Order: sequence, then C-alpha cells, then structure tokens
Amino acid sequence: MSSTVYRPSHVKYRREADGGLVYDHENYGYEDASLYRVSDTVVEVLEFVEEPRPSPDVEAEFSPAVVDSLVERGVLARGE
Amino acid sequence: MASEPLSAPVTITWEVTLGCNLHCDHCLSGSGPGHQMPGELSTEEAKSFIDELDEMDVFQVNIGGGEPFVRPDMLELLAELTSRDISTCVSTNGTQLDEATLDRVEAMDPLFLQVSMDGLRAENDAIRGEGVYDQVLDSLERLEDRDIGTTVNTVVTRQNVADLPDIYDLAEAHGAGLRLNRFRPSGRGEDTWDEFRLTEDQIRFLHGWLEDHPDVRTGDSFFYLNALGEVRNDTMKQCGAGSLTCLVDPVGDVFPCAFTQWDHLASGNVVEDGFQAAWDEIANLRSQIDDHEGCPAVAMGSSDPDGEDPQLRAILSGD
Repeated sequence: MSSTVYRPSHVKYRREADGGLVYDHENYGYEDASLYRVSDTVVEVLEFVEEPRPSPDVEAEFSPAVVDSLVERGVLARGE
Repeated sequence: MASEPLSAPVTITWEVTLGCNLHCDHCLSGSGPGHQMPGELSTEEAKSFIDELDEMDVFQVNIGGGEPFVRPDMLELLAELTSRDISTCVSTNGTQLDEATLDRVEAMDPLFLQVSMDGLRAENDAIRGEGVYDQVLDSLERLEDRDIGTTVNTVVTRQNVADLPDIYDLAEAHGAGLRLNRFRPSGRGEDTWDEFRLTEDQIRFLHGWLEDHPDVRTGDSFFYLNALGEVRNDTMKQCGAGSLTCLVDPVGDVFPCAFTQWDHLASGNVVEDGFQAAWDEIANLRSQIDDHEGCPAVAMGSSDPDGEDPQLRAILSGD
C-alpha cells in the first residue's frame, strides 16, 4: 500500500503576490515559530495536498524530488 | 524580504485591554487597575476582527495588554481564535490563572502561555508588586501539573540581569522555557528608561550569556536583532514592524509594533476602517521607521539625536 503525503497541522501557508509564505510552529513555543519565503511551486504542492493524497499522485503532479525535498524540510509529511 | 508588501501580517500583537490588576514600573503600555480605555473593543467587535484575521490568513496572534484575563470575555475570544486554528500566544502576569480558567485553557489548541517574571523575588516584586513572585511561582507549578506548555518571560533590566541564570534554572525546573525581552522606552518605560536600561557592560554580559544559552528565546523571534544587532536565528532577518507584524491596541487602532504606539504612526482602525485597509496603509509608514538602525522603537522612543538605537550604537561605535 502506497503512503500518503499531507501537510502537518503545525505548518501553515499563504500565497503572496510573489510566491508564498510557510509558517512552521513545529517547536510549539510561545512566539517561537519559523517563517520561510517559498516559490509558487511549493504553494501549489501545499494546495494540492489540502487533503492527504497518495504519494504517487503528488510525485506525478510535481516530481519525486520536489516531494522528497519538502518532506525533508518538514513542510510535508508522509503517512500510511 | 519580499519586494511587495505582504498581503497580511504573519503575526500580530493584540493588546486587548489596558486594564490590569498590577501596575508595573516598566509597563510598555502604561496599564494598571482601572486603566481600561474608553471604547475598548466589545465582544462582538472583537469577534468580527477575529473573522477578518482568519480571512486574511494571519498565522499567529499574540494577546497582550494590560492583563488579558481581566477581560470577562477573554476565554470566549481565545476559543474563537483557536477554533480557527490561529496560533494563539497569551502573555499574562500569571496572577489570574484560577483552576476554572486553566480548565478552559488546557482544552484549547493551538494556544501558548507566557508568564511574566522580572527577576527573583526581590527584583520582581520591586517592579511588579509585593507578593507577585509567589503568585507566579504557584501558577507555574499548576501549569506544570497540567502539562500546559509555558514560557517564562523576563524583560531584562539593569536590576534583574544578574538574576538571569537563576531565572533560567527556575523556569527549567518547572518545565518552562525562558524568553527575554528588551526593555524599551514605551509606556511607563519612557519615564523609567534611564533607571532600568542596561549599562554597556550588562549588554555585553547579556550577549555572552545568550550565546551560552541558545535555547533561550528573545522577544525578537521573527526579527534579526539581539542586544548587539547580530542574527540569532535563520528566519526573517529584519525588523518586522509594519512589514511582518503590527500592533492592534484595545480600541482597534493599528500601529507598526507594540513599542511604536505614537499617533503619527497609526494606520487605521479595525472597526472603522477594517484591518485589511489599516494593514495596507501601514506600508506607507515603513519609511518613517526604516532609517533607524537597531530597534527603531528604542531609537525613536529615546529621542536619540542620530536616530539610531543608542544601545546598539554604544556597542558598535564605542560611543
């Protein structure tokens, strides 16, 4: 059974005029979160997985390398 | 960071009331008993504002005051924020956290508490009031018992900087993190600036101590500044006032940050103009604060003739 790809609940994002923003509150500290400026592609991936999707679907829509990279950065997570 | 202004702030500070049961000598907003402003947002106005925050995709709201929990509807507003998955941080003096309040707080997510402690017993109570230190200790113990994630916040002053190692140990012993804020010349801090601000030697000590304690957070979590103007995190390396964040005061007026609440820097009102309009307008105010090196609020509040953060300048240029 293939795994799914989803956005962890501590990750939020927003599209901006130029790319987007990713806010990561993984450490769950008071006013202690990380913020990243990201490309349109990252925003599109996050919009695509608004509901958890099978990994092959996400990788086919974008690329395995993009998905792996976002999982490594903690922006996406894999589950069963 | 972005060439275009952001469509909305990343995080805002919302001072929900100027009422407070304490009357601290360094209070950034000049709060105190009976200090509520005429026209503080009603529950319905506050909920409409939260609606707009949600629509604008604001990621995080930092609730301050005054003491937020003196507002009778505070728990209702926190529930409104957290039910929309807005990361909600509440800065409290720690004296209003009865068991019924903690029952409600414990059930909310994502919600984070910060409890103020400005020194060990003698220094804390000299600034915050007799007996407050013991009340805060009691709250920290009850928060730990409930496993509610808590941060101890200390505004670093000339009087308490030597207590930092002990405050760090005390926070750790209660499962809490430690977060430091710079003392700034706003609110009653304008009157006590020369009494409480750090000496140059103390700034150097603080910088070294922070280097040795990388788990200690600063109040500039999204901003690049520390006491020496050096970068301590890898996120956004700029002052975010009016670009990443802003301040909404108890009547809904919007300013670049909590320490720049001057009339000429107000950009609108969340009730009369709407928050989106006030935020869009704030970009036009950035030019008034961008020219100040270091913390613009410290520079402007202390009337430094060179328009710089004098604490930063003292270190960088040896003045």
